Amino acid sequence: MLTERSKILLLSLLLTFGLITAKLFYWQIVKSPELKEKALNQTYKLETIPPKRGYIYTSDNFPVALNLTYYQISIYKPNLKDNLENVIKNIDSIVPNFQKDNQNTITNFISNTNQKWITFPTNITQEQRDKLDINGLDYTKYDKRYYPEEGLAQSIIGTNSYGGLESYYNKQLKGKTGFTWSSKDATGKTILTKKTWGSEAIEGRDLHTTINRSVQFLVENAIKDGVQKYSADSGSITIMEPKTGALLAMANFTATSSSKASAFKNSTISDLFEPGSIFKPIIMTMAFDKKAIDLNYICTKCGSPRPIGKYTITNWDSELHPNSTVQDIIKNSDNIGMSYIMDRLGLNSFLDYYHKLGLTQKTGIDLQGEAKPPIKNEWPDIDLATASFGQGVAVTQINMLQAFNVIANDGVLTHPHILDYFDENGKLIKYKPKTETKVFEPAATTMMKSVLKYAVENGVTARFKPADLEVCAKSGTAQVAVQGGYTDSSTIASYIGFAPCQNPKFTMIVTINNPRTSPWGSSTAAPIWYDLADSINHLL
Amino acid sequence: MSNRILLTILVLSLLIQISFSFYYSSEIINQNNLLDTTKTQLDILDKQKQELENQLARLTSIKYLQTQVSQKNFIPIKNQINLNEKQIVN
Repeated sequence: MLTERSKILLLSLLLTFGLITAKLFYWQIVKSPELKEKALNQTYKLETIPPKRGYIYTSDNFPVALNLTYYQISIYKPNLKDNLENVIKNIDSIVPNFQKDNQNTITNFISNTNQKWITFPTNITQEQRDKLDINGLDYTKYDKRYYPEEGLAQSIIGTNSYGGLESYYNKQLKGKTGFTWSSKDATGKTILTKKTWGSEAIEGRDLHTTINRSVQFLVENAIKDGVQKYSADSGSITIMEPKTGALLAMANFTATSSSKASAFKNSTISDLFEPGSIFKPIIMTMAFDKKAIDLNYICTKCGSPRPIGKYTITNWDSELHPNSTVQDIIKNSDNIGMSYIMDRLGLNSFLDYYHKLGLTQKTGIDLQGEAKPPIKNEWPDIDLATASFGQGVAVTQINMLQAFNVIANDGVLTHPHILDYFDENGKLIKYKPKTETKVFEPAATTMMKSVLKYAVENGVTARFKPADLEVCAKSGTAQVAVQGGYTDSSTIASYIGFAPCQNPKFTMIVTINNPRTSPWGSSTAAPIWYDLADSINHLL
Repeated sequence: MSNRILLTILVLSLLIQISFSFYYSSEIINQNNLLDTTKTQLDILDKQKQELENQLARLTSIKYLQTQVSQKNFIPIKNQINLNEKQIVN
């Protein structure tokens, strides 16, 4: 039989046990979800893993875009062991101008006792971070692009946010951010032996371009010197490999360039221009291919200007060349002769070839900002006649190069491109060439090559040609279209061609906008073309 | 007698369990530290690799080569090899 005291003791024990059970029920059942979340937050942390942005290389394997790691400093007041002013001074001794650059932020942070945490916008390097061994500091890592060639091929590469390959291939270059959800110890260090969840970051692909660094360097210097030498507004040069369409170099230079945006503008693909006489070989090849003319064609009506309606077709130098052969027409850049060849070709055939040469659409080059050339709906006789010498039609420089390259490539249209291949951790993903289109029969391009070769060796630009180089090329001087007509005050001087004529190594176009020393393509763009051709021929 | 044996077994079991726990937990800590050190070393090596890549890119850049050439006043080599005479011509 239990005594009175034992009964009280047993009751107390039961009551205590009951209370403990009730409390346990409260914590483990009622408050369970909330506490579980708190515990997870305290013992587990979510970390993002930024992927490495892919590098960009030239075809000779020199990097032109890499990454630099930077850090931003954060201060957490409760963790500081020294006073805040001293900490700021210490940072300033390692990061120059830190105090000066963040003066207002620092003053507010010191005076505001409620503010415990701050992040400064100043970027510091890894080396500076290693020297900053101060309690209470935290660092946020991020990558910034680094361009070791300082401006070389800038309009091709672009920046992270504007134009060029960086924008066009941003998806492939940027990779994919990864994350980990892992447990941490009391110091915040990850417990690697415990279970973690997450996905690996996928690094961006390295982009290997077709751009040849040495050729690009020569081209950029040549266009800069050319624009200055001929007191021009701007200029562009583009070089491509005839068989594949791979771009070897592309450069623009603007004499009055001042804004950042213009430095990244790629006028080769974005600006339309009337090609002028460099268009003549294309029209003549169309006529050869259509069998409208052959090498024996003689222009019997070239002895006088040609009236069409209220207009009269004359030559650029007002000279007349009676009974011109096709060689003479190209050598003398004869507008009258070309207008008669266009007559033989006819509007429908002209438009059919014009479309096949890609002159009514974008080339599809892998750069942002390419302009689409316009095409007229109405073609009165005078417009068709002027189109025969490249007036009244507008194309981009890259369109023009692509079309002219068809002559170099035995009648086959290739597509200009800059991507050679992506490297994804050793797995190479090659550029997939677009379908090549046969525009002309090889017989037509062979005839055109012989005409161009003759014109180069017997024309006004023969003096620039290196003796050991066989060249097929044509100069052009286009008037600049303004509303309702053409201006007399400026021209676009150009030179386009390939070398050698058989199995060419490169096709190149040079355009100089508004040269003031001489308006003619044969005396401004041509010398630049030949100087470059001589150098490039030895490099390729 | 049987009580004494039972007690000994219990005490021994307890000691084995304690020593196993000590061993196991220290092994976990060692492995964790090793993994952490390796991960830190890997991070450092990654950073060093990136720095070296950047340095190499800078030192082989055309801009840098141009600056160096103009600073060092290099004299272009003008000697030619005469293959017939097997001699260097100045």
